[in-house]
Amino acid sequence: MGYLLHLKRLVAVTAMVWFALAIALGGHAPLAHAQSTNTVNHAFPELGFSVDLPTQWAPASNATFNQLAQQTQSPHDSEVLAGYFLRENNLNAEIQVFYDDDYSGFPQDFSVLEGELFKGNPGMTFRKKSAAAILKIDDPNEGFSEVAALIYGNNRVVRLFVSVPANGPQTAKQVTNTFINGFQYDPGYRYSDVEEPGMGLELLANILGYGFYIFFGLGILLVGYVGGRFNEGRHWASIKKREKQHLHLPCVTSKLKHVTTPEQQQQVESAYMVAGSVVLSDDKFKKTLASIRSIFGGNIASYETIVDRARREALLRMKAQAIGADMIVNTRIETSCINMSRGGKNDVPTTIEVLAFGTAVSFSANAARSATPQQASTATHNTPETITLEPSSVAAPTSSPSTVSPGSSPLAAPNHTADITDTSATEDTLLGDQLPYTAPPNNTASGSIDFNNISIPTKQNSLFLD
Amino acid sequence: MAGQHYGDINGIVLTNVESVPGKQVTQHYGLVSGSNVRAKHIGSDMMAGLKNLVGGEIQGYTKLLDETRQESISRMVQQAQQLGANAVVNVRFSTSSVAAGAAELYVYGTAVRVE
Repeated sequence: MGYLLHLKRLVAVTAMVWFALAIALGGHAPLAHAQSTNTVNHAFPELGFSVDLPTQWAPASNATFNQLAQQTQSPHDSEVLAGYFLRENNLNAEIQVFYDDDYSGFPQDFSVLEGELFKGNPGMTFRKKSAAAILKIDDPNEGFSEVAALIYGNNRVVRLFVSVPANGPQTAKQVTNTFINGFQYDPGYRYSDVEEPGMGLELLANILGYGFYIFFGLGILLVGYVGGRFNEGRHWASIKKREKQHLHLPCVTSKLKHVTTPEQQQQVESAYMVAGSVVLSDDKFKKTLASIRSIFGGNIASYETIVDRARREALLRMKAQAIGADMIVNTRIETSCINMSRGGKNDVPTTIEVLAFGTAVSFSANAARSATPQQASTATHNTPETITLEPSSVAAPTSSPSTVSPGSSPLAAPNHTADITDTSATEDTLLGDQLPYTAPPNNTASGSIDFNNISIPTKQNSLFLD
Repeated sequence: MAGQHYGDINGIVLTNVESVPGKQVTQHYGLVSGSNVRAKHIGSDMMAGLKNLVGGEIQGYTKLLDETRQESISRMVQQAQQLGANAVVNVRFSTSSVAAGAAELYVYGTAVRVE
């Protein structure tokens, strides 16, 4: 866990320096807006933009356009602000007037407004919508300014949203931007008191501010990649090392009677179940790779290594329990997905549990060693697979399987010549379960097995399928 | 290390083959089973979340599932003892997710007497 701790510290320190720089330079960066002496940044998620407003204009937490209107010195200013843009830009606009139920200062129901304001004004339609009212203005020359005046006059807390027809001359965002600009540069709103930060610094601060997000997103990926690679490399090394140590312990999916002679079966000293399990998770980088891969389909190679590692680890843990045993029979591997998501469907880390279990069998002193292939061929079963047991006479190999050559293999049992087929040194083929293993297809009728042609299964999958 | 051997649990031997190799089954007592449902606790869940960044083994979960399995097995063994068996053969495991964040680990086998 040590490196993880260092990583976390690194991230924390970098973030702090980043914030400090962004705040010191004082731009409109998303994480640095608090710097300004007398402005507050307000986001309007409904409208898709945010704006810096003078502090004194935004007393309430849900500061919106109307609160700007409240700051006007006369209703006429509201008219300038609101009506102006509609007129100048020749817009049809829909204005949604929402009022805050919690605001105790609100004296009237909208039905009253309807009666007061919209009576006899054919350019406007008005409809109630629970705690909100939508005011639709078809004629730019009327309406908007009156709404602003009404808000000002009655000291209302309402929220205004401007929407424009889809086929109109400007998009809603353009309209609202124009609107905002009008607020900012109208001297009636004292906005000119606010000092603009220097352009260069602002740009830098913006880059730093947005850069933080980029840094964070990429940083997580990078941490996932580096940490994941490190973890995986360490795990592979450990798996390979232990697989070599356990090479003497055969581990098969067959029943005992299929892999031993009746004589050996008579000499079983003890038999008991052993199990090993592991829970393994992917990293952010692999997850990202997989999600990209799942767009097009196909092999998700980054996940194949996870399940491979998990199965081999579980097998190794099972083998580690079989101390003193000569073989493990009837090995079964169960894989189950552990879903860790809590709500968010997109955030389902791939976490698997693999359980390997089997029955560890040990034979009395000489049984396993005296077993000969000829005895094996007399077994009563009718399946051709035969595993010859050479448990302790086979020393754990000290070299990688890639150096194993026919005739000189440490796996080759001394009493017959094994023809070891290719065992390339890739991680996928290095298995602790490589055994002198034979499955002759042709000679089952005669009951004799050609032990000059014993091959080792090199595909791990051939052992993992059950 | 999350591994177990079930050589002799209160005098009961477990195997996952049809019999206990080297011994003769003299009496069958039928199916015995044990189950255990456990939910992960929030502490290990948080660690797992952190661990998910870099991948690798989530030891908290390995341990949790292992303990749950032990408990299931000990319940099964208890049942076998009550029947007078001295071995449980053909043991099978089954994992199912019963609720969000909770897993049931079920283990079952055939209780027998071997000599």
